[in-house]
Amino acid sequence: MEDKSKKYMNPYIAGVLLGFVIMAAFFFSGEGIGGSGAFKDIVKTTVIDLAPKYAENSNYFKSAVEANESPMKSWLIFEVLGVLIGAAISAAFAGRLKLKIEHSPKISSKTRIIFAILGGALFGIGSQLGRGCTSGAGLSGMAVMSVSGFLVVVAIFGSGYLFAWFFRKLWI
Amino acid sequence: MAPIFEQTSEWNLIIALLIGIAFGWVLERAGFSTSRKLAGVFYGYDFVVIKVFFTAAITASLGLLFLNYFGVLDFSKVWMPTTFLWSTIVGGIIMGLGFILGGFCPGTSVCAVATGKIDALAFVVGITLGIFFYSFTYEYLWEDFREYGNIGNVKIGELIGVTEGVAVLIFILFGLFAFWLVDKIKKEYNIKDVEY
Amino acid sequence: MNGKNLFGIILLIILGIFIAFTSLKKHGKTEIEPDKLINKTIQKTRYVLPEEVAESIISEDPTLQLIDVRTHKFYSKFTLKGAINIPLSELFKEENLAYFDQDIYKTILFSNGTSDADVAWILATRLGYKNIYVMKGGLNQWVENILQPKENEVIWDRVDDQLYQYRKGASEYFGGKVVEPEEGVSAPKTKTPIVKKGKKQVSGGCG
Repeated sequence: MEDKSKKYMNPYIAGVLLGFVIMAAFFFSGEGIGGSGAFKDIVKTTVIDLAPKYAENSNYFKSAVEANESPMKSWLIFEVLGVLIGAAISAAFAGRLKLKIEHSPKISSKTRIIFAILGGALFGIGSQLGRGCTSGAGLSGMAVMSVSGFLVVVAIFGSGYLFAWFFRKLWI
Repeated sequence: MAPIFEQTSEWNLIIALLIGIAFGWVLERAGFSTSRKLAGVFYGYDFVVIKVFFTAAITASLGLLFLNYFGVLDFSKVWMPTTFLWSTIVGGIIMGLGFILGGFCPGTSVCAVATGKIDALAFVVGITLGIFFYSFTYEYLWEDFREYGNIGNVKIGELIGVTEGVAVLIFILFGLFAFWLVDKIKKEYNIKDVEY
Repeated sequence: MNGKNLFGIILLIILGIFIAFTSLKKHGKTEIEPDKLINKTIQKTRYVLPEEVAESIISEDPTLQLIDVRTHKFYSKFTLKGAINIPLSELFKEENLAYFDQDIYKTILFSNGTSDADVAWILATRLGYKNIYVMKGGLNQWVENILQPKENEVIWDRVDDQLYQYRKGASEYFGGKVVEPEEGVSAPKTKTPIVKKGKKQVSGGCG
């Protein structure tokens, strides 16, 4: 335990580095970083390929159909691919590359997986409604000092603290 | 004049990949690939999320202003989200619940998948399912509500009536206060570390 | 609190205070100071003679960008070879400003006389665009000097003679002594500017 936490970077240094990554994204492409947008593009591509008729008539997919360019060629898809590579490299060097299901000792692996899927689904819905997730809307939004960035962060963490007590068994 | 590449440039995709690699590397180094560390912020045993998150936002907002000050970055060409009050708040609340249940957010879950966390993979599957659900119920449930509370491309400085620079200074002071506070909370209440 | 943290805190606060005193630069191009504008306006180096323009056209100077600031109606009747039409009243349109926002071309403005082109020059210069010139005397002078050069009764000196010979040559090139100027220059070929695309509305970060 004592060594394990040491292996992680000082959070402030990590934060500064992350800040520079965000700056670089804006500097080179004028884009913010993000996470959930890539999944949106995957969903769009899947639906358009499998059910083109449905996609044409759906308000949600219409714009992507009309754009006539594969949503897979988007900034965020490539960025998320990069995240996979970068995280794998870092974990490999730190010796943290290991297949496992992480959960509190009080719950079973199965419970953890069910709640992870549930949480993911809620995050998927919420990120579409709120136009971005913690990193895309929150972090990038705060970097450009946008009201929506601060708002979404306050809402996510506020609601997190609100619900934390009810689900404490999941974690502690 | 930055942004260096036009939005339509193919170079952007290569840049995106490189930015992503750096992003993933930092997230992993900071310990964001473990859900129990992330969830710690809500139970007071690990505030690393708040520290990294706000340090990053402060660094980036300060840095972007400096780039603008030196005439390197043209803010009019930079992504700037429109603020939709109600849909953002409700979306955020749903995401907060998702955070507590799942222990990740989309960016960190991708990072965790790369390091071999099966629960993160489940989370990623969940996100995709969630978006499928959203897209199929879009017309019935979300389409109108999504546009609620549009107040335009408002910046926090404009909202409270100060210049962009002053707003960033306030943000810095607020961040430093928050860092001090979370350390104090942990010490004061003597919250024990959780093993993970 | 250790030394490293203290250093970080102090650095952040100093940078924050510094940035608090700056204001956001809205555009990449800063507007030129009025006193500098006066200096630039007084200088006559912003004028080019019709003969110089003619020479650039004949030699197909690739860095030449001619801009006709007259109305579309005048432009469609007669203009210089390769000239782009940006009426003075439409100067500030984004797609028009894109012609100025570059540093490859030598931009030469012209109108019938000098004044409209001069106004366009001042406006563009005030916006911080560089490498812009005005064709002295405008198209009136052009017709007089290039298309219908008067034969000087007395050739005063060698320089005058050279100028006259040059004008005569140019006149032949541009359709020689044509009173109806349309014939000499029809169907102006224009180059499209490298329009710097504005940001399209991104659908929402990662959303």
